[in-house]
Amino acid sequence: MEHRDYLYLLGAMPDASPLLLRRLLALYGSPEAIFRQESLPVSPVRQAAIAEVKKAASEILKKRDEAEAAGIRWVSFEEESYPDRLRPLGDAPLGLFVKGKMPPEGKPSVGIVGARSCTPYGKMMAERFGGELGEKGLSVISGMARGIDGHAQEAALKRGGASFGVLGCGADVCYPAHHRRLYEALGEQGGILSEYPPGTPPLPHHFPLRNRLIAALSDVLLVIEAREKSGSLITVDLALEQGKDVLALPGRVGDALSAGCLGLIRQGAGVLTCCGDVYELLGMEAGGGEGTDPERREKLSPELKQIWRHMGTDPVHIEDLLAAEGDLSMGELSLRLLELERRGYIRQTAGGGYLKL
Amino acid sequence: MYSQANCMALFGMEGVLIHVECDTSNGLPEISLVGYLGAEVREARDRVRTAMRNTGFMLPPRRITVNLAPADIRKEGTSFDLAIAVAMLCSAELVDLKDYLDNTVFIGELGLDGRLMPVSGVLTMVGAAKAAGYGRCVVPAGNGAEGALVEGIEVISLESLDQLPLLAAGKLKPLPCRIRELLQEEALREGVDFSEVNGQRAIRRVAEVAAAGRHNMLMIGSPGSGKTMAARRIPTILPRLSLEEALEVSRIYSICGLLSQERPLILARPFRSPHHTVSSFALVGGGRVPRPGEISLADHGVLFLDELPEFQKTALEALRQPLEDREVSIARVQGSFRFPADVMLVAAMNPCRCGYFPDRNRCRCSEGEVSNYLRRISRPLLDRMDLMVEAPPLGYGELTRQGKNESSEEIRLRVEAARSRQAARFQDTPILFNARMNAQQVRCYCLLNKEQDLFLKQVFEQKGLSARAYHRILKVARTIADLRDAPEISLEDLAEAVGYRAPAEKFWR
Repeated sequence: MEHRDYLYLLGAMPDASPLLLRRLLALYGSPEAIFRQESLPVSPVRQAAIAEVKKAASEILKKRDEAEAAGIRWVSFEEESYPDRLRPLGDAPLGLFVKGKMPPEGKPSVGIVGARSCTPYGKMMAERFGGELGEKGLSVISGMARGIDGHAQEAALKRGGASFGVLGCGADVCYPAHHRRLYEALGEQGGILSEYPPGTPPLPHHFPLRNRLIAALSDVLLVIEAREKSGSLITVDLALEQGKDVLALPGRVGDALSAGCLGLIRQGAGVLTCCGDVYELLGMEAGGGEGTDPERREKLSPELKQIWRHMGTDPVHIEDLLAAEGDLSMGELSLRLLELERRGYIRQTAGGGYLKL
Repeated sequence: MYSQANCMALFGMEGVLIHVECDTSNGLPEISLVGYLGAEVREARDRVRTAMRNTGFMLPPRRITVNLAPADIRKEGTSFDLAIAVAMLCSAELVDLKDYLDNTVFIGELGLDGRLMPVSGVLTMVGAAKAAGYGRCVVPAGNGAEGALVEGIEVISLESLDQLPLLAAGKLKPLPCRIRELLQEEALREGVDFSEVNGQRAIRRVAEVAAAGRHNMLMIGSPGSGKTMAARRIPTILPRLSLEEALEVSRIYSICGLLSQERPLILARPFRSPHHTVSSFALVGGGRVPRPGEISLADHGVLFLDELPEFQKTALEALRQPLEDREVSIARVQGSFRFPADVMLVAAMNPCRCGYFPDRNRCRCSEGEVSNYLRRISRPLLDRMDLMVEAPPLGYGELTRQGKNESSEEIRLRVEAARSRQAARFQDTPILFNARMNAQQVRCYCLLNKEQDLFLKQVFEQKGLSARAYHRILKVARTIADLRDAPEISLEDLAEAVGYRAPAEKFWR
């Protein structure tokens, strides 16, 4: 066995704290030395776990080789391609499993996190920021969870950007399962990262830990929507500990899904209103203005403008439109809505509402 | 002495003539009842004997044999009691009904005191007696009004066994046939009206379109958004029942014993709302001796399924064939039973388990949970829903608004006009409504011009509609044009029809 194999055995040990492993490494100098020790200054449980690993070493290494054959590499902190952004982290993992690429070092990265069950507004904003920032060349870092995470990453990939998903399970496990298409696309256009060996199931206690990696890999962290007590806020705390900038998207007062973001703003987080806010923090040129309403509205005929007027960031139901535009029949209204939708001014949401784009 | 009386057995929606033969001969005193009898028919022996004694007919102590012919049909039900009693009395020469026996069908169950109890299915049985060439029916007094709905046959109502001598003497007069009179009567006020529905313009509109073209519809909305309220009012905007329809509906209700004794003709469109725990047999009909299910009870009316995803899967899937064929056919050893099931299906459901999606302040269901909930409705069932509408929750302002809403009467006039347009269009075909058009008829009656064709093509690409949606959209557009009283489908009609299909394509890809 080589040095790297010993390091792998140590790094891929289930539920071992990276902090502890690093301390042991500092104490004994090398992973080989650690494995040679009869007894270590650790708890008996941990001692037993190391003994277990020693016994099953060839098995574990065989599994690693299989995973590497399937395209999941293991990159240790001693290697060049280990992300520099993780190095300052006290409890950075000894190694990372990666399917696809690592986030490029030279390019700025932005983390986008938020609620799993988001509102249409949150979805729209996640897609807008994920898409535009991805297109601009920023690496979009997130957790591939459903809701905000997934929407932001999907949009980034759709517009040709690069996105990286940090998972709380093995890099070969697609969780949630219905994100299979996103998972495949991330593997091709970006990367899937995980500190857990292939095959590890998504256990609840993995997720707060993987959040520290999301925070560490991001230069700026955007919070799109979060409830008052939300997992996203863990990521924010970790990012602040690591000295990262956090921008929160303001929502309406009283909306359950805006409470978390508004709380962050009260505590001093930056306000996210446009991509320029992100560029400014990163010291980038904004370039390429975002479309503004008045310009676009000019192009609409009076009939369409009459309907467009009612649209906003909250879904407007056809029922409300019928009430507001009493003279219009269902048919006339449907035709205008379809036309607006076709021209990309509005979008139909779940529940029969329409949303301004 | 030998004698014979006639009665009727019910097989599904058919009445089958049964001859009751009775012979009194020397031997040990005994009554024996034969002829492939169900348990309740075998018990008739004790009922009949006791009823006779209690009305003063003393049977002679001789051997009495009763046979229900043809002996290869299993007899079920209690409607044979009267005929058995008559045959026995004539055979024992206690009553002289000679002039009656050949031309009369006797229907009724006996109580121990000799009273005649009402039975179910009298309307069908009297109709079958007339078809079999009989000139007279004797029915229990409780079923008199029901029997008298049949024209061209004398119907005499009998209260008790002790009236038999009066009958023999010709002192009981046949009941007058009241069907014309009943038809003139205004349908019983349902007590509900569409004017009570505030707001929900979309649901009102969809209900109108659905009623006009006899389309099935599905409402998706939060609790309290008025789905059930609207559904209950749909029968009030459907055209009145015709005589044939009223008789068919009344026959089904008669078989189930659900007819009112005073008002035996059903004039209002049925509205059936089975609970979601209903079994598939109760829904489409079944049982050892098949009986009509809820879908047949809703014949020519509305079958309303509230909380659609909560229904048992087997129950919902059982609906598919009757919805297509508009009748239920149930096969049994004795033969195949058919019940009419020409219904308009109206279904309602919540958008998710908690009911408040997409209001994220109240609903915490994940998108996966939401789509799992919706996917409990199978695609084939969904494909039978032409119209779908998503209803938003009602605001306080709408709930308490005092303004005047359109009444059912006004809506019904438009629906009737649209129906008569359809009747004119389909006069040479067996169908009556737009919803029933087949692919070829859609091509023939739903012509699109170039602009509309292009529009529909764009919409299909934009919304990713399925090929199945195409015909449904055209049919609904045809109905909307009929409601406008327009010969041609317009772009607006198409757009509106597309809107009614959109939820399906969004949720159930």
